[in-house]
Amino acid sequence: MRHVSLYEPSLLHSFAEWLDSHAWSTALIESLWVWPLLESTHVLTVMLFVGMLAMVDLRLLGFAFKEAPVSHLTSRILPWSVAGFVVMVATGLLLFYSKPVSYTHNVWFRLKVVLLIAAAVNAWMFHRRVSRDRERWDSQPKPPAAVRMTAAMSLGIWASVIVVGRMIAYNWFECRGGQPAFIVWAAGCAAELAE
Amino acid sequence: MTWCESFGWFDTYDAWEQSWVGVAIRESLWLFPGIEAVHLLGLAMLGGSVLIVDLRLLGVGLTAFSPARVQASARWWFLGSLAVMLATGVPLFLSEAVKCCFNDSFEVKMAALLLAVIFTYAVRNPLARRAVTANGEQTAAPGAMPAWLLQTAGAVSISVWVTVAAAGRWIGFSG
Amino acid sequence: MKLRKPHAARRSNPAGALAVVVAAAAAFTGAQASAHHAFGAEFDPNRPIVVRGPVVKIEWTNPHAWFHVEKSNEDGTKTVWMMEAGTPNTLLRRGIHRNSVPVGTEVIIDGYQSKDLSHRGNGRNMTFANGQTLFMGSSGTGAPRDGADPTEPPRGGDTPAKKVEAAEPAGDEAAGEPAEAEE
Repeated sequence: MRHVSLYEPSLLHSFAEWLDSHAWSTALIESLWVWPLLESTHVLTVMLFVGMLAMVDLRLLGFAFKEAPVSHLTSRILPWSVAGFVVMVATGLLLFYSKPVSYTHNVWFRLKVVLLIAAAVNAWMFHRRVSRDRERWDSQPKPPAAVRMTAAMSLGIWASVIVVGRMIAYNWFECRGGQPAFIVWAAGCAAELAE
Repeated sequence: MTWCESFGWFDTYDAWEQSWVGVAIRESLWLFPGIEAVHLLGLAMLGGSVLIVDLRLLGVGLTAFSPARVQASARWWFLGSLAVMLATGVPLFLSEAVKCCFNDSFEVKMAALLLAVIFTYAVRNPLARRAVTANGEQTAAPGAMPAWLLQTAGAVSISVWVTVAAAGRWIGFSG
Repeated sequence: MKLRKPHAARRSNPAGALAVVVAAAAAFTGAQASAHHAFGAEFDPNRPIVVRGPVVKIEWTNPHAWFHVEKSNEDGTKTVWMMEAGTPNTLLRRGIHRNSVPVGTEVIIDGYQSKDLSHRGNGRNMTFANGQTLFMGSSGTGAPRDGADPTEPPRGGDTPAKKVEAAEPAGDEAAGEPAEAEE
């Protein structure tokens, strides 16, 4: 892949290089139809995954479907979101596999991974902590502040994931000469090699 | 041949591309990606507000409520996300109108969008509003909506909206 | 953004009639160039470039293929320019496939330089030694249908300036200057 010589050889980088050396990785990135279809599926699934999740979050915030118990949405709507998430992860991993070195050193991609971790922590907080006393507020049109907080966090984080994900395609911050020190650090380019 | 080519709309599209909005977006480093990102946020919300009603019409999703109630609850979220899509989609189009003139996917998207909006307001929503009982009961009630009709409406709605989104994504791949 | 040094007075290499023709064609067909999905986010429509030389590498990748072309500069040095093309799929539909451009093929690619002034550009037309020109760009401007589309009227406004800029340096220099500006 491009600019390989600029990269600091780290464990992450070596792993990406190893993936990149696979014939299947090359076949995928060079494919005539599979890559565009994978990428399109990844983008379109946002309708199902984030769309359904947003409906649940809006209920938790007390903005929509207020007459429905929260549990009705988490049992009837959330599974659809989870199904979308599975498709997202599958297509996302394949897309990463198609261009591992490039994505490993992409600032937006790295930021997206951080946001995904934040989303996971937030989801864990909701299901393990906040939902413990759900019976108490299940039918409240406007659940308690702690619940609304995790819902707002969920909406905000996933919206950021979408925005940052779209930005991965733009190579403003690629590892190459002349990038600011912060970018060189954030993208994991070797400073002395970035001219 | 696209319609734009066949009907000689090129000059009009070209003039749109030369509009100040189009020029400003093209000249900016961040405007196109930024607007595009908001367009995607709108897509997520549009997907949610369309699917939650269509799933109900298909007999899954929020089955404790009638399709009519689900549709009424999702209505403003649907309109809001559609507004976001148009508010971001039109500037994106203006910035690359000439490309769109020669792009089959763009025209498929626009045709599908027109169809989707007409279908939603002329067929799906009126059907959903008449389906006022919660579960499968409406099929038994005299004069009520048969389940197959609601299911067909839900399936068609999902299909046309996904077509709009897919054709939209394909604009970028079919240059 | 650094300014481009004016080099109009400097004598340019005899770049060949073909390059002049291509540069002029670039001014006309390229006038509608800013149609890449985010052309403006990465490339500068006011920096037309013409890169001539052997293809040293092709990245046949999605969402855009990249052609690496080694350009000989006036001072004897060589610079590898990376020119962005369409998707492998669109290129195939236009008659450019993996084996049709082997490494070492002499090509002339006209396009637009990236806004960060690196040695990268958005490719428009690719011309081979036999004079055959193929549209390699990322999007349809009419060119994908028939090469340089004569039915598309040249655009007013920004076109004249571009025409002069692209035609005058006759290939080599147009691509050489920004490289200097960067260093």
